[in-house]
Amino acid sequence: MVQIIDPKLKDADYQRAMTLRRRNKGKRFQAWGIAALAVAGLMLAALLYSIVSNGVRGLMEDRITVEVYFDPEKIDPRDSGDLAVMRMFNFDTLVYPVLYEALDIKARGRSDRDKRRKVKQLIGLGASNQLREMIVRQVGVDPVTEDPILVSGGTQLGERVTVELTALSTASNPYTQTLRELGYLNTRFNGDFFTGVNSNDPGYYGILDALVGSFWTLLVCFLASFPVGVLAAVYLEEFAPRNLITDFIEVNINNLAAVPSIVFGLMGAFVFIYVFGMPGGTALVGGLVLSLLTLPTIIVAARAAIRSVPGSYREAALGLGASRQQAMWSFVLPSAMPGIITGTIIGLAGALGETAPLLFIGMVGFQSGIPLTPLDGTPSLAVGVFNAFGSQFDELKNQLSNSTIIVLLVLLMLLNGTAAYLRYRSEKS
Amino acid sequence: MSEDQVRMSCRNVNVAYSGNLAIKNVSMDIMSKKVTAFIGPSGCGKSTFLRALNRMNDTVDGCEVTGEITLDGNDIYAKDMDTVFLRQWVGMVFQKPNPFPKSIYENVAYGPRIHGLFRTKSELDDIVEQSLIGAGLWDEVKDRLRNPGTGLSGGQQQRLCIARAIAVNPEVILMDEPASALDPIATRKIEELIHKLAQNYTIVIVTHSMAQAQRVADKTAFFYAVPLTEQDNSNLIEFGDTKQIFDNPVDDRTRQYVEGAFG
Repeated sequence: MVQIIDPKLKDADYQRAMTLRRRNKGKRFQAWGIAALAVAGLMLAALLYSIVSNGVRGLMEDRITVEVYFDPEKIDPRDSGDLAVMRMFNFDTLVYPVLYEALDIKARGRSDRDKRRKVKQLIGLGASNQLREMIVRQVGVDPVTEDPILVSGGTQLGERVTVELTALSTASNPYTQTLRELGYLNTRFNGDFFTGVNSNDPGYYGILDALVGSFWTLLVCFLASFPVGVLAAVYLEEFAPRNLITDFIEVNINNLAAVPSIVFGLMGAFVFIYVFGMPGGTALVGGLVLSLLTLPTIIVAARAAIRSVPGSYREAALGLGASRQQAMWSFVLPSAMPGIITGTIIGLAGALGETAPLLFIGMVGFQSGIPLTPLDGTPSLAVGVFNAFGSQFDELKNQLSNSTIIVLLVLLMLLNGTAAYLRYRSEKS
Repeated sequence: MSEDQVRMSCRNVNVAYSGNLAIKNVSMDIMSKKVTAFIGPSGCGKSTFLRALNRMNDTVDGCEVTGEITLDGNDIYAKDMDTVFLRQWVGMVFQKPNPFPKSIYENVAYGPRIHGLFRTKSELDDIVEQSLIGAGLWDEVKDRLRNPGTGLSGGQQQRLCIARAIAVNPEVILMDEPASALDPIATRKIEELIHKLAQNYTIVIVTHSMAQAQRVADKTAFFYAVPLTEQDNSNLIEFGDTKQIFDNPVDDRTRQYVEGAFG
C-alpha cells in the first residue's frame, strides 16, 4: 500500500489545477492532430482542384464553325484535276480569311501581322487534315510504285461547305470572346476524347485506345498473377513445412513488394522482349510485367485471408474424413475468397496506375488505333496521361492530360469501391 | 453383435507434443454400442486422448503417438491405415458447434459426397433425411434445408454437426465436450440424443460435467496427473462402470474429484 505523504496532494485546489492541466494537455494534442489532418486535406484539395479544373476544361472543347470555300484557284491553280497536286495544298489557309474578315483584321500588310498570328494559333494542324480529307483521301499505298493511292473525299472544288473545326488554346487567345459573340465559336462536350485515339494533335486526342489497352493489360495481369498468387499462398499457408527455406521465401515475397516498379520494367524489357522475343509495347508484355508487381500483393492478401478462416471449418472437414486438399477446396478457399479478391483488386488498381515499367517496354507514343488483341501495340491509361501531355507544355495538352487523369481516378475509385464493398459484405455475413 | 464386444482397444498409449508427454501409458477397451465418458480436470489429457482415437492429432505439428490403438482388431496407426477411411469409421463432434458456411442440406451431404456413399440424388436425399432424423433435427429444419446451417441456434447447430457425423455411417462417434457451449435445454436434448445414438453407435464423450457423465455414460474413465512426473505410471487413474466410479471409486483422487473437492 502506497502512503500519500504530501498533504498538498489531497488539497482540492491542487487537484483542480492538476485536472485542468491534464485537460489542456489533451486539448493541445487534439489540436495538433486536427492541424495535421487539415494540412493533409489541404494538399489533397489543391491536387484535386488542379486536376479537376484543368481536366474538366479538357472534357469540353471549343469549336469554330466557318463556311469554307474550296477555291479551285488556290487548291488546283492549273486546273490539272490531279488529286496528288490538291493534296499538297495547305487547307487551313482557306479558313483564315473568313476569320480575318469577321474580326476586321487586314489579310495583308505588316500592321496586323501579330493579330493574324493569334488567329492562326486557334486553328491546328488537325484542321488542315480535316479539310484535306474532304477533297482527297489516301486509302493505301501502291505495292509496286509505293505511291499513295488517292480517292476523292466527296467534296468538289468550288463548293462552299460549313465545317466545324477544333479550336486550340482558346483560354489564352484574345479573339476567343469576340468569335464566340459573333457565333463562330462555341463550346461543347468533347466526345472525341472518349471515342478518339492517341494523336499528336491535341485537338483530336482521345483515350479509347488507352482505355482498351488498359483493359487488355489488366486482363493479362490478372490471368497471370491471380492463379499463381493464390496457389502460392495456399501452398505456403496450408501445406508448406515450416523451415528455413519457406521462411526465406516468405521474407523475399515481402521484399518483392518493396522493389521499385521501374526495376520490373527493365527486367521485363530484357526477359520478355529480348530473351523470349515477345512483341514490345503490347498489352501482353505490359500485363506480364505488371503481374510481377501485383503478385506479392495478391500472395500477402491471400495468405492473410486464408489465415483468418476459422480453424473449425478445416477441423470439421478433416473430422468427416476429408483430406487436407478437400478441406482446402471445399471450405478454406471459398471462405477466404472475398479477402483474396479484395487484395487482388487493390493489386490491380495499383497496376492500373503504373507508368514507369510500361515506358520501359515501349508502351508509349503508339498511334496505331484501338488494340484489338493483347498482341497489338498500345498505350495504357496511365501512359496516356504522359502521351497527352507530350514533350512540351501546351495549354490544351495539359488539360487533356488532366482529363485522362480524371478518367483514371474514376476507374481507380470504382475498383477500390468494389474492393471496399466486397470487404463490407464479407464482414457482414 | 454381442452386448459387450470390444470396439476399440488401447494398449500402453502415449501421446507427446514436441517430446512433452500429454498422455502416458493409457490402456482401455471401448465397448461396442456403449457410451464411454472421459472425465478429469482441465489439462489432464482427456481431449488429447480422444483425438488420438481418430488420429486428429496428425494435423498437429510435433505430435507423436506410441502404443497400440485398434478398431475392430485393426491397428489405426498402421502404415497402411488411411486417415480418410479411419475418420469415416470414427467420426467426431467438436466442442463448439462448427457447421460449414453452407446450407443445412449441404452440411449433411458433404461427408457422403467426399466418400461417394450414394449413386443418385434421391439416395443422397435419403441419407440427409435419415441423418437429420437420427440427430433429432428433421422436424425443425425439413422446410428450410436450403437455409444456411450457421443460421440455426447453438443447440440446433450441434445436432446438425451430429447429423453430419452420422451421415457417413461411422462405427464410433467421438464427442469433445459437445454440450459445453450450450444452454441447459439444448444440453438436455443433446444428452437424450446421445442415449438414442448409443443403440446404433459406439460413443466416446469428453465432458467437464460430472452430472452429464452420470446421465449419459455406461463407462467412465477418470484422467488425472498434471504435471506428469516420472513416478506416475499412467494418467488414466480409474476406468470402470459409471455407477462404480461415482458411487464407489477405488482411487482417492477419483473420489475427491467426483465429490467436487477439486477440478
